[in-house]
Amino acid sequence: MEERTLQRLYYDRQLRVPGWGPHGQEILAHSTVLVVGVGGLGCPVLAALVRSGVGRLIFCDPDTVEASNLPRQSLFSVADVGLSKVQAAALVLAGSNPWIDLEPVAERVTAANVRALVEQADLVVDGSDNFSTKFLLHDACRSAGKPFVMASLYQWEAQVNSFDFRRSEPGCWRCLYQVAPEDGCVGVCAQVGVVGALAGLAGNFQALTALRLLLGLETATGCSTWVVNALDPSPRRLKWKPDPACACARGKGDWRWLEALTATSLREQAPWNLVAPVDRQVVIDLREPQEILPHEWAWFEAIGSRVIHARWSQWHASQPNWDPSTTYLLVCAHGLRSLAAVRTLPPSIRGLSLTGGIAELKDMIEGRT
Amino acid sequence: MGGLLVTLKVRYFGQLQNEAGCSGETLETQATNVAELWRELAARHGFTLEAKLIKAAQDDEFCDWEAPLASAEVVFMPPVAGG
Ligand SMILES: [Zn+2]
Repeated sequence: MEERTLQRLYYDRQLRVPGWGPHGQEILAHSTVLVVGVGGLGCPVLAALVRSGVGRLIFCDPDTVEASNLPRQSLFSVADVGLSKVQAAALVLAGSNPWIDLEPVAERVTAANVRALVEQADLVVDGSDNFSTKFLLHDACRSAGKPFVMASLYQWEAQVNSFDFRRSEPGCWRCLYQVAPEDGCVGVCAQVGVVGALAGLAGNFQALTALRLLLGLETATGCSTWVVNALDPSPRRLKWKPDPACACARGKGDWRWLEALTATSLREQAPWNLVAPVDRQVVIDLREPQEILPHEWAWFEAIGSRVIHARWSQWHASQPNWDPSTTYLLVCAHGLRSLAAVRTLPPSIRGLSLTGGIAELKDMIEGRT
Repeated sequence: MGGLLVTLKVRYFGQLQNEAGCSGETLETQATNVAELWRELAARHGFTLEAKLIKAAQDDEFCDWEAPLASAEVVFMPPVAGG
């Protein structure tokens, strides 16, 4: 079949939908969407936006596919375990729609690159798994005046928020949470668990919201959170009013917060090569027992570090006996729990969080990055 | 405390649901505002999350902790971050 005919037939059913049509298809073809996190949320979001015909998709994730991702991360197969998530996703997505541009970015979104990424996009979708990234993206979208669709998962529960920062009226997530909750404060998926089918529901909810915003069909106004608990599945929409004291009331376009953030986040997070090897260094592994593989501790022992196990789920109840003459390197799977734990250390104790966690260290040791 | 005894519904989300062992309950309370109600429930269920993390809503709108109890249902929702 001729390529042009094939392409017209591909989009046929959605071209018939009121509110979409050839005009909507044209808008989508000229849109760029940034998707941050190719996990439980990012997979269904990408699958839906790619097949909808969004012209350009930039998607970021520094991680590799793990077996425990597969029940909810529908773009990956068992054979992808160990491969780069964005590369594996790009292969599948290219097969599902060859007429769009895919830009995989195998990087974590940080204060250093967030502005450049967000400014390229017409809309940003958050599929990250931690508060720091979510707030960073939210604040960047607010400064850049870009619509932002956010979601988070917890066991059977999903929360979805969207903000159309193209509009001039005030109202944002900071009106509700002036200060971002600390990472790890309400558990991470590796610890509390998550239901795969729920990720599909929330991710598709995000994709639909993104399409409404791009096509100019959004009718919801004001700030609200959708909360769905699959054990009791009547969704709730909880609203809030703009806070006149919030930065959003003073207009957009201000990026000074980002410069301040770059300065502080660099101090708190230790790249592995700045910390090891260090004499008298003690490594604290915060992971749950089932996450730990025996050979991982040998990496630290090989450079003369002692490893102790203090699981994050019991961190507030029992901590190690601190020694002020020791440097502590806190580690977990991806560096979220360790960053949260570093912030709870007594002031006299020198502790650092291993950025990227065991996952990134493993990639370095095995020569993948 | 010390207000009149009122009957209302409480709805829990996230970790609160695990700790309370239910998604919601109907109860009688003498609490007059959201903060008093929270303290009463936290003591009963042994909630471990700090109050400053939790958002409370009445009539599907988030409200201050000092807001008087004015609706038939109060929602308590912690933030979640999984992805
Ligand atoms: Zn605001």
